[in-house]
Amino acid sequence: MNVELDIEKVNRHNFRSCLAALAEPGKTQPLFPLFDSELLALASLLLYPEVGYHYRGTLDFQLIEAISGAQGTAVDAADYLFADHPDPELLSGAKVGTAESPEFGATLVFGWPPAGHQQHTVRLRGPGIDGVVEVDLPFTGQFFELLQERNSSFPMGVDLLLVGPDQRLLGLPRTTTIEVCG
Amino acid sequence: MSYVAIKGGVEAIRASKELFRAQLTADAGKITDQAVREGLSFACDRIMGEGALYSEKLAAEAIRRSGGDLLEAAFYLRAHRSTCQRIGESAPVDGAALRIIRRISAAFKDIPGGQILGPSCDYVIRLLASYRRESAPLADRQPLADCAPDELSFVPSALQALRDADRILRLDCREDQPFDVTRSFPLPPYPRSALMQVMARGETGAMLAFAYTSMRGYGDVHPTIGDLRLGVAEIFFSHPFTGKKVKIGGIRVTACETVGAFSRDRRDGQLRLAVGFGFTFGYNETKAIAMSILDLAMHHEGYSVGGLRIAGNPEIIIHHVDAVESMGFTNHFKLPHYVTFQADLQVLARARENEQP
Repeated sequence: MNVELDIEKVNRHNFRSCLAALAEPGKTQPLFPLFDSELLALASLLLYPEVGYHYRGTLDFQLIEAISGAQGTAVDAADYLFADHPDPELLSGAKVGTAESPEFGATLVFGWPPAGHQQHTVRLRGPGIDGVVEVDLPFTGQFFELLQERNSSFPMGVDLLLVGPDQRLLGLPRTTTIEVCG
Repeated sequence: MSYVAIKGGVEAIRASKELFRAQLTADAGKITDQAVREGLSFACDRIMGEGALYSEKLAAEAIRRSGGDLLEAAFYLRAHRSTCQRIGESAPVDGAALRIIRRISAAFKDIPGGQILGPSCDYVIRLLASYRRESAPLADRQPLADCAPDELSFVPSALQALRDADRILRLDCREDQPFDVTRSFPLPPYPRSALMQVMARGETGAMLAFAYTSMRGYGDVHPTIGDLRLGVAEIFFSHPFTGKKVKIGGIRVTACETVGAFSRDRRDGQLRLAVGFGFTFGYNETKAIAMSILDLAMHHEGYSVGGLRIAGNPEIIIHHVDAVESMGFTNHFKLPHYVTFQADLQVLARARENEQP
């Protein structure tokens, strides 16, 4: 089996899913795992030698580092931030870019917490959403407030991707406004 | 420039795509990728360079899918390239370390390693009537793309003796690291590495045309081919875990050094010969020579005389040799420009109204 070729195929499939997830916020997209992990699949897709990343969790990123050439870095310098679960500290420290270069805002990739974790139903509005869409997100109220604050100076801000469960991907770009129901 | 949003026409567009596929299937459905790779190896080589992706397999598929339209085929490769994972940079390739299948020099008759003619169309009489008779004995030959690297030999550049005698002018290198045009586009003054990369991806016909301007009268380049070589370059990469250099394969390449007239070396005021360099994926002698002439013209001002700099103008070369860009811009004119053309008509009407009787 040509392992490298398989990774390329997985990356291409997941790239389309990422595009779709960010183009249609709130709508889940299929995701192929890599090394039995959806988070590592996104790391393989997103990382390359010229970007820095930061990971907080229990996965082994050694192989991803080897095949992507990306180097681990501090939270406030990372282009991509990964965590097994939604992490307010990473969100708080992530780059939001500058007014001149908002594209340097970080992308955060969080794994979906295990079943039983607190969830909130939210209404999403913004580009890519036909009016309004309601989804359940595994964030605390404090996390929502922090996300709103980090994305308050558009076009500066952060983009967020949630992976799992069941090999699903959900995108929350900085253009999406989130309203917690009830 | 502005566009008007067009709705509708989805069915017609879908039908057009189906017709195109049906036409290709009818005309080229029996051609296999292997047949393209082995029978049209120079076409594959050409688009591997212009598409900036070395893959004989994908090049053959791209040519088949595009029905032999090489501009389209290069576009396929460039598009595929953009989806490939970027894992790092290989070690630099030394042109003198190629395993040679063909090496000639027009500068010296007797050169170390000898004149190795190898496979070339240079000595073929272009008479279609004689094709069948000439091609018959070649049927048992190994395909050009399949020459085993181990069967080939190393030879030094035919210009090495001149280098050893300090007769070759060396340009100042002001770059710590080579520029990478695949990551960002440079601003003027353009680094030589960026110009070389853009030319290595340049469309063969465009490169030839610009180089030809220099030969024909808008410049002064009439060089001598110092060393033209076709061969296999071994590619080394740092192992991601051990950090050691490992050979990951070999690619077929063409390299050309052309010698121009002498220039005064800025380093010490001595007169030395100027040399241009060309390099392509696969076997593409014409493009490699054209590239070396453009390199000469752009980096040695004495080669662009007559007041009209075309080949010697980096601004012209860097922006006009890329096939995907130029083809895309040209073909975008087929897109609806209904609003802009209406504006043109209004301007025409106003001009006619205001025209003096």
